[in-house]
Amino acid sequence: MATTEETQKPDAATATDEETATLEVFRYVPEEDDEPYFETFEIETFEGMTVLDALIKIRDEQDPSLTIRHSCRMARCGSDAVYINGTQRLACNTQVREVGDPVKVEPLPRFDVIRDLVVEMNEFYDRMESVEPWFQPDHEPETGEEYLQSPENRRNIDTVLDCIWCGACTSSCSPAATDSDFPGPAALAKAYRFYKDEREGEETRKRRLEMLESSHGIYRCHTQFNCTEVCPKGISPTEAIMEMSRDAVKEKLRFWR
Amino acid sequence: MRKHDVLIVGAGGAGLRAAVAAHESGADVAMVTKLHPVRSHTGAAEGGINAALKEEDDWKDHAYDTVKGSDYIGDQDAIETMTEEAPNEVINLENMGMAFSRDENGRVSQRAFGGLSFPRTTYASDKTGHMLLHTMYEQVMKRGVTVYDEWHVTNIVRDGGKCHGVVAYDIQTGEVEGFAAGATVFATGGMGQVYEHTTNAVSCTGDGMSMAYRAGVPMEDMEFVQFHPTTLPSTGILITEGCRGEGGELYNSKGERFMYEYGYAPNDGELASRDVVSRAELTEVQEGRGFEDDCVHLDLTHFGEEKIEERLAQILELARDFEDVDPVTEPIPVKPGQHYSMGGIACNANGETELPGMYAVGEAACVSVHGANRLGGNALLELVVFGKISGKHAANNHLTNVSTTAVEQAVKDERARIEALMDGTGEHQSEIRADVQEVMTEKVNVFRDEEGLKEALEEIREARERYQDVNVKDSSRTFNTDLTQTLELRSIIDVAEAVTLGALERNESRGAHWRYENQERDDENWLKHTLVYHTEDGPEVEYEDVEIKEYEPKVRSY
Repeated sequence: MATTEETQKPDAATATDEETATLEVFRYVPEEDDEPYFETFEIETFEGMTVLDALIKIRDEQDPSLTIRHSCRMARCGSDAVYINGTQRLACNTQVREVGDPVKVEPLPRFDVIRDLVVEMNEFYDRMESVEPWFQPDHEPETGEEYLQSPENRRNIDTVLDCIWCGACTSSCSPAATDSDFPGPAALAKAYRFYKDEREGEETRKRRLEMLESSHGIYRCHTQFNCTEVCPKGISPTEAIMEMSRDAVKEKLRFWR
Repeated sequence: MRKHDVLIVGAGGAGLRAAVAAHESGADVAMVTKLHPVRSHTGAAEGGINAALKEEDDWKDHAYDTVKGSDYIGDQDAIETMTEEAPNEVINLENMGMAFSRDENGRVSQRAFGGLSFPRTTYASDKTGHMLLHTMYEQVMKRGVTVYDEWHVTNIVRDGGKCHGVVAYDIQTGEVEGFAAGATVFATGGMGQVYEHTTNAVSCTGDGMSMAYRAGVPMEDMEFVQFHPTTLPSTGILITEGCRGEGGELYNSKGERFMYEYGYAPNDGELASRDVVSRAELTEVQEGRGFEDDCVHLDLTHFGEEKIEERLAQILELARDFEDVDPVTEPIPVKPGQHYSMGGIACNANGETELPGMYAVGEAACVSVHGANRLGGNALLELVVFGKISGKHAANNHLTNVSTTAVEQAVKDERARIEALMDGTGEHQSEIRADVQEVMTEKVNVFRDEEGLKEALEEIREARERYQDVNVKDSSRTFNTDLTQTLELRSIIDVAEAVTLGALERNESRGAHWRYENQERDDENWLKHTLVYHTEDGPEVEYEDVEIKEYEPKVRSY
């Protein structure tokens, strides 16, 4: 399988007028191409056209073999994270006219490419699963009763709850690229979502922190904020990781005191 | 060939809930989905989930609201099951960690929604579906349930009058394989892609409905299609009913709150049921009181930024990103768009279909709890209540004499069909699909008449002819979306035909189905369910009685 890092940068295309746009799209079909390459498409644009709209238009009108994962087209399913003019973004909520011309579209860096803009997500899913991302309350609830949670506590996790598993952050993270045992920003933000949820209780909170503190855990973060910059949902995994790291250090100090 | 006791097709809210229930009942259960579970369209549900949780509320009131919302064609036994089970299932979601919004006492929050007599819509900001989907997938991961993701199920294995599993196409490799199962639960979601202007994802193509139909199980009540009153005009993206539940107002171009001013819903105004509001909006537009692009305005500007950010955060994002409108300072242009299929695979309240071994649940199914019009907040509820019931029932009653020979034969047949499809030389699927979507949006929409429906039916049947030689231009075996879209197009045509035929035959106006020739409900002739069966010579329509219990039909007004 090819990775995007093997590809070469093409020459910048000339600027076009307002009604059209040039898309340079990464192409690779494993059974046909020895190497990935870029293909240039000219399309007519319309007000409000997203990069996903543009790719679909190319697929329907010029080349039905152009391949991208997409489903909800409203930044909710997280299928269509790609690399647009050098940044991880969702194709469906990126305006063609706002990213400059030409629009260069590549698969997520540091993910194996299956075909064209479609990448292998299984390693990402494994990272997500590695943090035991399910609710583990200390105590069983009373039958028919909900656990109580203060509105403040719920608000604290509101942003991280919005994660759509698109992989943009993990693609931007250099420690995740070199250490496959490091859960990476999305998984650690998911862990934080449970770590901060007061409904789980103190025992689980401590256990989660111990688990995350292992040699491949939270301290691997270089606090470069790349993940925070690219998150299409405005989540800051970096800050979540930093908070858990501070808490972990505090727990240690308490132990040694 | 893979083999499991229970196989769930589709991994949205209904499928995931069914998988958890089947697993808890001790079955060997697996899921197969053409997406990955977290990509499912349940995640796009915004508003909430209804349950009579409060002491002052009563599940029987919820049942009555649902019967009235259905325009008396929902089956009342199933509606009672759903509304009575609702509090348990909503609390169960919370107990699984779902992050509902909270009131000051730390309890789950509820708000008002259309067609409800009590504010019983439990919500998680305006991302209730997202929270539900992720919570349920967490539970599936926790239990280690096998998930075959990006496998596109293409056919039901029917042999000797029973269902023995399915055939599926591996999107990543192009392999066709058999999945034998003692019980197969179809949780394949909706069919919004039958229309051009829809809130639904591109994956909502009615595959399950079409496969069931071809396996001899009828599609029920397909003419009842919900058009949501508030979708963005340029994309069809959903703007939640929660906006109106929180006090959002609808205005025409004369600055009038038309729901009141023109008597569409003198009591409930904007919170009338969805069919009523959608018709009102289009009437305003037809009478010259609309805005550009056939819209009306949804005004939230009196909320203030803080309230919008706390309760309707996603709406802010969607309106800004996809319509370039800021709801804090200006009204949102909205129009009706296809949103939900009340109809689906005919099944009973256990999810059982006419075909032993095959179940249906969620939007793919027609139990029927929504009848002619679904209430907001009842779809997520249906997923979990009937997901649990059908998963458990499937686990306890799956067939033990599954024929692997029948599955092998079906795999061979399906391979041959796909090979043949790859050799077509006619038109491309995108052209045929666009024509079907256009005619459905133009002629089988909110307002319907005999002439338009006949024209639509003719065009759909032409599309079926054109499909015989459809040209798949991409020849690759790897992630061939040209092929999967071509497979989906057959489902779209099957479903479009059933919707249009049901609508043409039903010469009355009920819930979401409105006919120019007879603008009143006609209980004497039409208090019955439509069943569309597949035959060699095309679809055949039959009818079935509605289950009436406590609530006799009466005039419906809001």
